[in-house]
Amino acid sequence: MVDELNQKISQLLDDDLNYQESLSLLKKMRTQPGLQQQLHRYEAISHVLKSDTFVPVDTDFAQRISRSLQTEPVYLATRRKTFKKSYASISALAASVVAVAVLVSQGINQSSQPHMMPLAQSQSVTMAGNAELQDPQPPLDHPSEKELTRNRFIKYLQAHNSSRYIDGAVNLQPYARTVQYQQE
Amino acid sequence: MGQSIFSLMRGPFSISRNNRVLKVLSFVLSLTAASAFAAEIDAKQSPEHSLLKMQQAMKHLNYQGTVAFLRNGKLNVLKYSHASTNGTGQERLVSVNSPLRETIRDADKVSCFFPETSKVIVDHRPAARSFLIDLPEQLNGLEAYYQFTFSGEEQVAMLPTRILDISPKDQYRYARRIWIDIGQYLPLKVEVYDRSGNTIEQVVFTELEVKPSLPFIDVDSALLDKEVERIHNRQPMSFETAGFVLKQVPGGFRQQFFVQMTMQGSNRPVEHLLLSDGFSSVSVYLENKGANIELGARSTDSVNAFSRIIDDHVVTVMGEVPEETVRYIAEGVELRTDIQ
Repeated sequence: MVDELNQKISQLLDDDLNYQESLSLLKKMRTQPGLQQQLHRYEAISHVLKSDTFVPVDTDFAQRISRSLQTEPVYLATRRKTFKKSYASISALAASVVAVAVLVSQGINQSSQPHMMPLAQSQSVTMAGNAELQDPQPPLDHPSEKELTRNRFIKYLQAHNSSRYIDGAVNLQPYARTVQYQQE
Repeated sequence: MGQSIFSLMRGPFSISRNNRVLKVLSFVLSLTAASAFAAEIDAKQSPEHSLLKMQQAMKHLNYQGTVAFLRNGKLNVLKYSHASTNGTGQERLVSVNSPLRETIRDADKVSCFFPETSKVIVDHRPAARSFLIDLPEQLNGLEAYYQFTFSGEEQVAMLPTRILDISPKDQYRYARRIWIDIGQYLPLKVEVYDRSGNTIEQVVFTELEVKPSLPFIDVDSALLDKEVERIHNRQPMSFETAGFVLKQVPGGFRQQFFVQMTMQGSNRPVEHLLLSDGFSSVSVYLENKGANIELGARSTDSVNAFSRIIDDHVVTVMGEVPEETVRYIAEGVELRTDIQ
């Protein structure tokens, strides 16, 4: 019986044991420390045969790892405060009614304001309204023209808001590097 | 009949009656004091009060940490520090990923250091604005255009925060949500939402510590051996000298400064007016028509812009506001006819 179990441990290490037999063997090893030690010895022998080197590992190495994991502290973040159920349901209902009212009123406001017309329509109105006054606009499909237009937009952005310097949105100085200071 | 309060104090009956009066008076006084105390507590716990405390904390505390900026789908992680002494502040940002760069904001300028080219860009700015969030100097009157409510509490950067929702009351500005550190009142997270509710900007501290003091960077000394390019070197002027007037501006937007300048790499004069409602800012530019400007609407991340031609000039309005706002302002720009 012992030889048979030893044989199975050897097969387990060589990955020659099928799933059911592996499961059965591992269940037995869980309750029989002797089998665990045998597995440990066979592992060491196998390692030496394959690599000509031997790195001794404590027999309770795995147990110590397991214990460490079990005793690792758990961070319990503060739970988000919730209102009482009755208040929450009433508030949710009230918020829904208000939201619907706001959306409906906004929809009415938008439809009633002439400057809220669709973009394409508004653009055509603006351009047509100034058609007599303006020179024919140069086509923007020329690369240099596009580049000039983009550069002008970036310069406007720079002048508008200094936070443009911290994000890559306008690709300012893509090869910038940090500078070192002598600090006290 | 005809008894004075003093006559009531004579005799047992009078004393008893006086006691009742005193009891009623003390009860009324205690009620008044309690309601005043409750009102004070309510005021101290109000969103507006938290916003005020946050404004003061941002200005006067020394703090540093790591901040993630998410804009237009791009993430920038930077080391952030804010030093303050005697009411003067300095913000410093150092990117931790390529492209590496260092940006320092003082009261009147923003300095960007590019050591690869041994060049420094110094951008002189009439108004200082925090890299983290635009906040109004005066909070009075904001309630006419925004609604402030607390919507819960969460942990950010392992610190407890109270969530402040700032909802616009009209269609001309964006909604914001600020996670305010309960202990120090610093903004640990800020999100800006478009009108559909999508997040268009996010600033989050991943770690933060408040220090008794932090060193100021002596920018002028750092510039000594560098090639310095100074841009937007401008002095604020009266808007009365501008070549344009604004016929329509959404409520709450006020003039921050007006300057006349030349753009970098160009000799064309440009007029620049900055408006702000406290949280959102809008720039109005006016220059000659020869400038390369794409007409109509365009946008990049949270910034919308609208350009149109007026006679021989082109006006461009841009800002961290909905498209309706820049279009509305642009359509109200007219050339000034009463120039001295």
